[in-house]
Amino acid sequence: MDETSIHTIFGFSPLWVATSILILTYAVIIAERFNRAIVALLGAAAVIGTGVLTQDQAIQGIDFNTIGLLTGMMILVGITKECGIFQFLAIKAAKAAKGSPWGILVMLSIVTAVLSAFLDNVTTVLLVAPVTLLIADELKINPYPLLFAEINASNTGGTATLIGDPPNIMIGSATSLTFNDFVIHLTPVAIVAFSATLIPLWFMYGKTMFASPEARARIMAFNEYEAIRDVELLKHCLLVFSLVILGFVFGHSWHIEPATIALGGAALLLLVVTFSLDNEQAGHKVHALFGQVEWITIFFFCGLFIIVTGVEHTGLLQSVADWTLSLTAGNFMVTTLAILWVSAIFSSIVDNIPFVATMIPMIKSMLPVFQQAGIPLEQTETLWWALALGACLGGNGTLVGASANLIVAGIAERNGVPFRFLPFLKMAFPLMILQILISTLYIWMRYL
Amino acid sequence: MKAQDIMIRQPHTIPPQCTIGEALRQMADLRLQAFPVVDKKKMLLGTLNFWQILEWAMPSYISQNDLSDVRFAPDLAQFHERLGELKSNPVTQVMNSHPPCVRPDDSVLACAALIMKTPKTVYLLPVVETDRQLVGVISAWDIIKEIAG
Repeated sequence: MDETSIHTIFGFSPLWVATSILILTYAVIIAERFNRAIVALLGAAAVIGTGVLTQDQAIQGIDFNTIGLLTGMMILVGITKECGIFQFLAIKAAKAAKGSPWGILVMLSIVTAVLSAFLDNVTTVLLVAPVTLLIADELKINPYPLLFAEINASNTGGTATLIGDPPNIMIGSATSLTFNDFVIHLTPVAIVAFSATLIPLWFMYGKTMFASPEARARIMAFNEYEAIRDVELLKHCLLVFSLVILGFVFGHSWHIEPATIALGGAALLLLVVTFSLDNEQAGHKVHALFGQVEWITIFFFCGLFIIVTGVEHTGLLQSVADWTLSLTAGNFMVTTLAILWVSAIFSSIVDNIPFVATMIPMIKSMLPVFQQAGIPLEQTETLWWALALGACLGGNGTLVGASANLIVAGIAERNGVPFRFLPFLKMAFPLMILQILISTLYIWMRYL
Repeated sequence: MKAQDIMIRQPHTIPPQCTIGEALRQMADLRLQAFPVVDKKKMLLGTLNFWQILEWAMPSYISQNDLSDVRFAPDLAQFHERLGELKSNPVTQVMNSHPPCVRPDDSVLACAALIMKTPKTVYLLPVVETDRQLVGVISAWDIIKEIAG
């Protein structure tokens, strides 16, 4: 919309209308009274309905690279989880620790972190947490420390790659940063943050964890190969997953975006698993597998993108960015660290997806200011790493900080392991602060 | 065809003070999966079936399907321990106190519909008078016999 076409809406400027819609939508999302996808879509409809954006502008505001990447990965994971590979890995890890409770905590955390780096965190914990309960049951130990460590591992592992966590997917999509860039810049700090977290966890839980030799023998008697339900499917999934990861690594040099790779991989795997079926069976199978897509998340993203495009369009985010820069006096270091810490605190309290969706255009509008001030283009990328680290690791701070936290808490509560907000906060928030301090040090030493 | 036409009139029943271990033994001996639990006046107190005992003894992450496949675990020590603890408790701990029931003059169709809707809980349908006096039971077998003609 060019400047001349901006008009008043019911006597209010579009800036106020778009801002009100944004605030109201976010407030209702935080209240969690209604499903977040419905709220975001209603907010998006209001943005178009009030004339802040035309429908065409709204559609252009949806980042289909993010949507495609998310959808593709959801289909890939939806098919792969059926073959039992995740349970296999969890049991293998427990046996590698020789049944020692602390060793199992570390190994299950590593498995969770690595899986979360490549799959969505919710799926990872949904598959690992029940196996954890069974292992704890066999060892006759309290499963809480294991589950607590897995929550932390899931969010920290998700920080490590472009596809690990939705904020990274959004950042990667909105910028020219590649899968490899994320690996080079975020994986090292994610590994350090993960490892450092194990030290306080040892003092909090590890020191006192004990299992009898009989209980440990029961774990060693598990046969992880029995967890693999379909060897043929496993082979196909591993092949396609390898191709997709290679695509992420090398795709950028061929100008192929992650969404194309993920959706292409999903289509390929769908073809493989339906190849020997007749048309009707294949139709049912594809229908069921498309049902694995978390449509709530997808439509939530679509709605949010439109709402944020609305406020961006009216110049609000530019004003907030200018105001932020005036607060930090245009100092690059202060701005970067402020983004890291504010993102972490915000993301530990509210959903990091709307926060990052709002921050991306704001940071984009700050970039020219820093480039004019003589800061090299490569160094300005630090702002994105600060946002990614803050938004992803921030999710570790409270029980409501990330979806994976709530999923684990739900499974635990259902199985008689209480996961309450305050006790979790007491342990988790200091750990999150530790991780953000490590990130601060990392950013300061490497980039500033 | 009515419920009273196909029901078993002298069903095997167990008293409320019967232990779960004793009930399991009777299930094994009589090859029955479920019993009505009745008091001395033959008033229906509930039904007990093998499924309910299994659900109580099974760790919840398995029974609630968080973990659907446990073939990799050779044996579940917790399962046997919980079952062991459960065996000395009275059947009233796990029985269904409000089981679906039918009246003697309900149709066989209504009985089949009840069994179809709740296959896990209805191994047998108590046939009761309005005061919950047990007059018979109908099992899935009785309905199969009726359908088979």
